[in-house]
Amino acid sequence: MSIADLQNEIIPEVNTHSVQTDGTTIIAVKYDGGILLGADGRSANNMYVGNKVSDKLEPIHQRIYCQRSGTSSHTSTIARYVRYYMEIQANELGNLPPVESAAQVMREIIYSNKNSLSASMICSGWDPYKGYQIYQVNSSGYFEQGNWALSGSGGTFIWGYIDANYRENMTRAECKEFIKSCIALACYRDSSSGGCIRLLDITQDRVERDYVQYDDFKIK
Amino acid sequence: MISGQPRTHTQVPVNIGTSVMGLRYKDGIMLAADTAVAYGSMKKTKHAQRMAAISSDTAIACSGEMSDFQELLKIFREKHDGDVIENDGALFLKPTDYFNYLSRVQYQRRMKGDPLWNGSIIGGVRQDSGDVFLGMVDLYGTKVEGNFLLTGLAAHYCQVLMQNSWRADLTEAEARAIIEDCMKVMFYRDKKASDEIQITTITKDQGVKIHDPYRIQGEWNFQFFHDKTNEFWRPIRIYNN
Repeated sequence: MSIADLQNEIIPEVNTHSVQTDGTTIIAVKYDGGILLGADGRSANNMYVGNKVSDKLEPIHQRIYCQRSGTSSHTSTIARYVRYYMEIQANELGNLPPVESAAQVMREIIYSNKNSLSASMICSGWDPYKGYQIYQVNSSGYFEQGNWALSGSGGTFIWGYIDANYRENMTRAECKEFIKSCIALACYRDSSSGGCIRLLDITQDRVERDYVQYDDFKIK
Repeated sequence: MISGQPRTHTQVPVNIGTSVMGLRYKDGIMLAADTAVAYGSMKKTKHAQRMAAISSDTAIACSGEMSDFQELLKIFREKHDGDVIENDGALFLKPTDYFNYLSRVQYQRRMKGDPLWNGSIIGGVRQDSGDVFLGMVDLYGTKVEGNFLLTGLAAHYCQVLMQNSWRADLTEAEARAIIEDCMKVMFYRDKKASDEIQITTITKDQGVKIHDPYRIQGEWNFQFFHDKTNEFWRPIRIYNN
């Protein structure tokens, strides 16, 4: 194994192989009355952008979505498995499946295969048992829960911005502007993020998508 | 990820929790850890809980790879549930049983070259007999018991602090003071340490009690920090010609 391979094992977001990756900035934030998910639109391998408007917001169930960062083929397969298991569980329950369930399946897949997979994902949504929840599983299988989650190579550039500007219980409008700024700033500095911003609003009653084109968020 | 290469399981720890400490005091056991999880050189998680109750009278605190710590808790829970089923609800597991089980699990994983990369401290107080137990298991499965135990970098910095201060009849406040002293030193000297710590006490009467995390106070304002700067040690020389 070369040094490059070892580096790839430790920090998978910095990918040195020619596989399709979701360079990515993904973020999920709880606001007063729901959860807003945001993702950029760039799928790149090395220098070439494979998909400039990719959709990294994967539906898992009616009110559960996951966001993908890492190697595209890995993350979309994991999402498909999680979706499969949640469909079965929903059928068994006769009701919406728990968000934590989906997140734990995700954790089990990523943790057990941590040496072969490169996937860092966020799973969030609403269920009738615990309400709005956001969970995150990173590439080593470390499982976290919180009021907001951030992942992807672009995320590294905005930790400071979020530490300085995040407030709990924002309104929907404030949260939307906050996420747009976060992703815009990340895309500004990360070569692996960019293209567009895809937003998704999950509330108890409905799920609503939004698309923000480059001209509306480019900085300077 | 690399095709054609054999699977190599021995990992490098990535989500790292730093040192944990455990000591016996008058009423039982005190375990302590800070609440930070580092991701490489980034301080990623600020308010993590790196200790957990594994039964009503036993608790574990782990340093090292935190995803493996979460897996360990799962392994303990499954062991606990399996034993309850086997024993028809009667539980015979003592703190030493969990300690030995952990050591065997770690050893087996080590022989497969796929370790759970953790330094664990297990403490327990049996609620029937009042017997107190404190032990440490490393990633190889080595078992160590003692009156005070340290994993990670603290084992290098705080061993002497503990040796000089520890007595068998420490009150809870005195034990806390020793822990805070050690944690202060670790915050000064360990890159991955944080100044927010969490303490678990295990006593005969109250069992396992995980307290809320709180911030410790270091001493950053010695006057000589202000005074003895580079200008003091090596002043600019001015020549009058």
